[in-house]
Amino acid sequence: MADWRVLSKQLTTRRARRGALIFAFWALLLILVSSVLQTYIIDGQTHQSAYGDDWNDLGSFRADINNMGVETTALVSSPLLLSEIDHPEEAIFIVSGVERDTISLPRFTGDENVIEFSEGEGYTTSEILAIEAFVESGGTVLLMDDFGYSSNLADQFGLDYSGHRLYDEGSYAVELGADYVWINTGSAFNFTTNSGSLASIHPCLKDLDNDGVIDILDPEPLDPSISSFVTESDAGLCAHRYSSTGEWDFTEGYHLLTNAPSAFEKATSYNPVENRYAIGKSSLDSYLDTNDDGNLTVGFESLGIEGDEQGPFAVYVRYCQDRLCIDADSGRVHFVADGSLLINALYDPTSVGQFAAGGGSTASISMPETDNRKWALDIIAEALLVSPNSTKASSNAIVIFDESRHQQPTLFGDTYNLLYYLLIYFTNDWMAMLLLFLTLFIVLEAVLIRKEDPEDWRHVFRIIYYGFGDARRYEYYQRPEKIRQVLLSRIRNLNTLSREEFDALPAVELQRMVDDPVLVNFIFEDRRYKPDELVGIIKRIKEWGRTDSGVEA
Amino acid sequence: MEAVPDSQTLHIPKLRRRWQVLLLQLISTASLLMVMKRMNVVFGSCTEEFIEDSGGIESTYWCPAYEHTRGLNYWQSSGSVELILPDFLHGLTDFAGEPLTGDATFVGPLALCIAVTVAWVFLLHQSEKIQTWVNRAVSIGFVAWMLLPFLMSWIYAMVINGPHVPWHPAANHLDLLWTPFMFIFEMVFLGIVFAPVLAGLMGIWGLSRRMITWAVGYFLMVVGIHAMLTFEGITEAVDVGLQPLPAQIGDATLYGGLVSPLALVLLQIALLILVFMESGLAVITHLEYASMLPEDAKRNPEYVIQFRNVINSHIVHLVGIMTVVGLTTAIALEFDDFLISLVGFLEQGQWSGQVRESLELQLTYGKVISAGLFLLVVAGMRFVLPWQRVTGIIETGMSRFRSTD
Amino acid sequence: MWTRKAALMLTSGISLILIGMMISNFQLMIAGLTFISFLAINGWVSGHSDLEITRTINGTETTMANVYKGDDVIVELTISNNSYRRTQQLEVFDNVPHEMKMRQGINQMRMNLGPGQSARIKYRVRCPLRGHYTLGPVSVRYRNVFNLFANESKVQDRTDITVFPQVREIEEALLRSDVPKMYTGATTLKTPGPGMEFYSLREYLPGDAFRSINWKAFARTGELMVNEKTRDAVTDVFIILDTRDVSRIGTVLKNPLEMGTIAAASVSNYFIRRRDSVALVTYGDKMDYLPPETGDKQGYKVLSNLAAVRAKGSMPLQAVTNAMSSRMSRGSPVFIISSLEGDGTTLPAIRNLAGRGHEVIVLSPSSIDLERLISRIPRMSYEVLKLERQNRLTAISGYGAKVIDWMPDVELSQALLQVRTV
Repeated sequence: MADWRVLSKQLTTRRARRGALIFAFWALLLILVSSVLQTYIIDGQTHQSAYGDDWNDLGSFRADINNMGVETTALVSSPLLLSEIDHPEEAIFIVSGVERDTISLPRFTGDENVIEFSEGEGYTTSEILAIEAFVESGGTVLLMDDFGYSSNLADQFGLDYSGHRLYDEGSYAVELGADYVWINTGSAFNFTTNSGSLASIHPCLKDLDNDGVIDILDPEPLDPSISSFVTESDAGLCAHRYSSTGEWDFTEGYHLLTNAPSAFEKATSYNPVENRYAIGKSSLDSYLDTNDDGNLTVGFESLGIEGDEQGPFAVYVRYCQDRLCIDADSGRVHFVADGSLLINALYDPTSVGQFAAGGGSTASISMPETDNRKWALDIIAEALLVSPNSTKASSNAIVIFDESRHQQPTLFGDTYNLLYYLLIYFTNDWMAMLLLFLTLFIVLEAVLIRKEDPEDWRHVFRIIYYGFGDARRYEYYQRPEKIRQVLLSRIRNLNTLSREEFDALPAVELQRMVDDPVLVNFIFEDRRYKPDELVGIIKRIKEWGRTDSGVEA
Repeated sequence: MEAVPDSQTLHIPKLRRRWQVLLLQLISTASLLMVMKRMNVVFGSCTEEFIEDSGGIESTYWCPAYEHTRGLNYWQSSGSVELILPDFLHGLTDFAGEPLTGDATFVGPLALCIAVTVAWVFLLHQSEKIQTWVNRAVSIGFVAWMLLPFLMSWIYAMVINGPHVPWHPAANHLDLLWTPFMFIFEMVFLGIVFAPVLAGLMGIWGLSRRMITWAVGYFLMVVGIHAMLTFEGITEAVDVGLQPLPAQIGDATLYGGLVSPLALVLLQIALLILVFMESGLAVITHLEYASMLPEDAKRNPEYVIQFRNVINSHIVHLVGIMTVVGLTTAIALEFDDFLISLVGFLEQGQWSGQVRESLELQLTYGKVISAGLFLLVVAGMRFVLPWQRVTGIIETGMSRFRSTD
Repeated sequence: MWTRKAALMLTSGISLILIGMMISNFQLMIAGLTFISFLAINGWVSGHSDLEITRTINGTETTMANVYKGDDVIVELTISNNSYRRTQQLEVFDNVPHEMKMRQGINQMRMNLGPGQSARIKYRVRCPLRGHYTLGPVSVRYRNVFNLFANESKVQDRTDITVFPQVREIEEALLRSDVPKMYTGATTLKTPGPGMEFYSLREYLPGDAFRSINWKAFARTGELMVNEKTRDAVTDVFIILDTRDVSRIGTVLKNPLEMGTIAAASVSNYFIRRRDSVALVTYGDKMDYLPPETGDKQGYKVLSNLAAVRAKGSMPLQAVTNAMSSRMSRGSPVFIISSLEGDGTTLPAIRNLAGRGHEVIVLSPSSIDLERLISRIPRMSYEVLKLERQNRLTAISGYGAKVIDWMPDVELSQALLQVRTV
């Protein structure tokens, strides 16, 4: 009980009351700020992640890759890390939706601008250059995005996003709605109008002797009479081309189902000189909703009404580092103007179960057959199979999913990723490294200069002190008039005269009192005296005082 | 006031013979030598490609590695230079002239370092006059060594052959001027490895803070220069043949999965540098305090007892804390694995999947972040674990137990 | 707080880690991690200054002590750790004023006390200057074993030391000199006070001693009456000490004020021992008056006042004597201790005092000779200054005052023997 009384006493002290007031203030402020922020902060929509299992995630795709024995990794910080990949020719970097902007940090440009302070959206310039370098080293990039922040990355390879929604009245999934557009290509390996089929660049399609067995598995790839019996396990990364009947699928076309796609600009989508090939296109009945009203708008130039742009538009573009992607180690970029091409609902609808078509509905809808999975696995196989002798990926093969531009569902997930981002930025970007060095140097100097250790204690005995008189008076006391004054005072004191009496004293009487001719002359003569004369006079004055008064001088 | 026995007073000559002081100095010396040895193992070899290009393993080659015999042999053979110090002092051969390899190459130079240290410490105890005299003798001796042979040779030649300039084609006496500089170059090659050892020994036994910190700085500088010269960006332009550290730190296979072999060696180097520095500086700090005390305090039992307490606790702290630091750093290096497992265990969602498979965790970034997180937790544990109170209670109980005996 | 070493280690550790990451070098990273880890582990160990400290002065546990100038003080500090934790490495420093000189021992110690352990610091200081001083507080610093962290605090244990001016034995000198002799009882003051002779009867007031009640008067009048006695003490002795700014001329140990305080202390001690009442007046920037009293308590007050005086101000003597004239009983001896420099009112003041019947004794430290200790005064100037001083002293003695020209190298007792009159 005593403790409660003590406690209550403590709580009523002034300090406790003050603490309580401060606490109440901050709590109220927090409540007010939270209630305001709640209006403006919107929960992040997490989708298109390879590690999610929602209908709009890519979990099934990743699981498929893992089942094929290929290692998958996630990149949560920055594509700057791509420079650390040891074997980029056996790596594929998959970007599915660039949902978030980047932090603008300054960087050296290496040109006349020297420093660039603001960055474009999506990826930073350094990251784009890192991706480009990755491709140049033989890496493969699969970029699937429609209305996200990947335009800068595409621009680096000369490709422009239209930024508008694509509708195709001639080719859409009727059972699903106009949002689901078919992109069909009869031959995905006819890169140019006169190149013919280049399916031989794909290890799962390369059969030079046309004996129905791909060259990787063919003991004699050039001898049609010699082939081998191929099982599904032999197929390795090409297993998706192996049918249950034992037949091999050599088709080169794809029927890709997209969900609310966009398209690339016509002008930049196809440029064989720059090794950019438009593979998948929409139909002639397609149009870009340039005014974003959701309807086809026919333009009337005379009335100044701009109509929606008419198709066909490239939705799938392939870029090759080497001409026509002939070299197996050549870098490649697959651009698709739809970020949700490989979502679970489209990739493997059976694994999703009931899914909401367009979001919201829980009605189970049967998905049409698509080649999305085949197409994706073809890209994986083309990227990872560099050896001409095996359909299995080597131990160096790696599939990297870019998770750095996706919203995180966890509270501190974004913070964790940001931490990595900053760390990688400051250790990879030259400008940042320079800034870091400078900062570290300044901090080190600041510590050396400003930080002081506590002084060692020691007792110091210190009492030196001098009190000085007025040294200016010394000179005055050497003057004859002062000496004369002192003499006269002496005479007066010793004769016990008052001032008035002394002043009234006749000169003769004074002379008689002094009774010293030298001193008498000194009193009455006003002239200049030499120092030794004055010394003599002073001596006589001292003598005179002693003799007359008997007082010790 | 009771007086303590003469051997227990806090006078510097007595303290230097105290077992605590000697122990600290010996720990420091042992650490110094072990650092040298470990660094020689890690940073003392050239790349195979460089060796091949230089003519194979049997040829005489040199790369700026942390090793002394290669450089001396290279110096000797390439310029047809005679080494001034005998080969056994360099560690190249034994007394019989048989070439030495491995740890045996360190014996000669170490003996030389120890001899120099002993001489230097002895000189420090002499009067200032003698020190000045010795300094002057060494300087003058060096200059005389440079000039006297040259002058005598030239004068003698002039007596025999008549006056001529020293650089006469027939009798070039100038070469004799370079002998001391050759000696300096020889010392440079030896000093690459043994300069910090000598400085460290002189700092430990000569009680010089500056020398100890110089030695530590030198070791860190060697590590830094090695890192720079083996950096991929540099080796693409200029490859000096240094063997780089492995790109991956390796799997933790030692001590029950605590640390990988590479990490253990690197950790040992860092830890030994710390031990060398701290134990060497400890002696200096305590002796400085003792020297500051007045004569009567040096004999005061209170001061003697407390000095003993302080230095004993320093030794206990040194051993205990360094052990814990080694363990903590080893765990920090492997904490990324634990973090992945923990994240996977706690949450099966999207983010945990990303973290588990993240590229960052497989590279050094993950190691650094996870190690940093771990060290933050370790630092924060001081507010959680009242371990000092616990040890205090144990100590109180033990002293009470002893007093009741 | 973090020391420089810890801050450097942290910066270096972070730098090594970052540089190691930049150039992908594990050794640098591990070295950096080791440094940071070293700091983190050392952060676990913290000392404490929860100590019990007691200080004794000359063997006595006290918060106040009085000594005389030049005496030694033996200080013993006992530090006990009454907690359950080790203190870890502590530096304990007893703050001693810089005016005190360490004679033996040292006022600090480095220690590491286990639970329940104690340590003692013992030292001896000499106090060459009078004044009021304070020993303490005790500064305690916890310092990490590897000099990474340090934490300072103060234990507010203070002891006040009052250093009195020296008291010289001057009885014989006073007896042999021409200084007026005062004998107890030689002069009756006709004032009531403690004494033997009957003075008057008065009404009883609460607080009066019972034994002073006059029962006969009570029986006669029916009212309680007490006997008042005539004050037994002799006349009051007034000591007027000059503490003006000019009295600091000279060295810290030798100047008119120091000499004056010794003289004042010695004279007051002499008269108080004779059970005379002594009053002390100091004047400088202001006038301080200690009324006349007798007894050891008065002696302590005089010494305490003298310990505190400092040279400042320029109050003229006549202002003091005018202010004090009403308080000085007729015939009281007045000791004026002053260098007589820089004050034109000295003569009239002394004349007035003498005119009122006071016995005036002027004890004048020669400030010119004190000045000569520290300044090079030209010979001629010195002689003239001395002459002028002689004139002044002569004039003073002409008014009947006893004048003592006190040279710096002369002891007080010797100086008193030199007293001269006209």
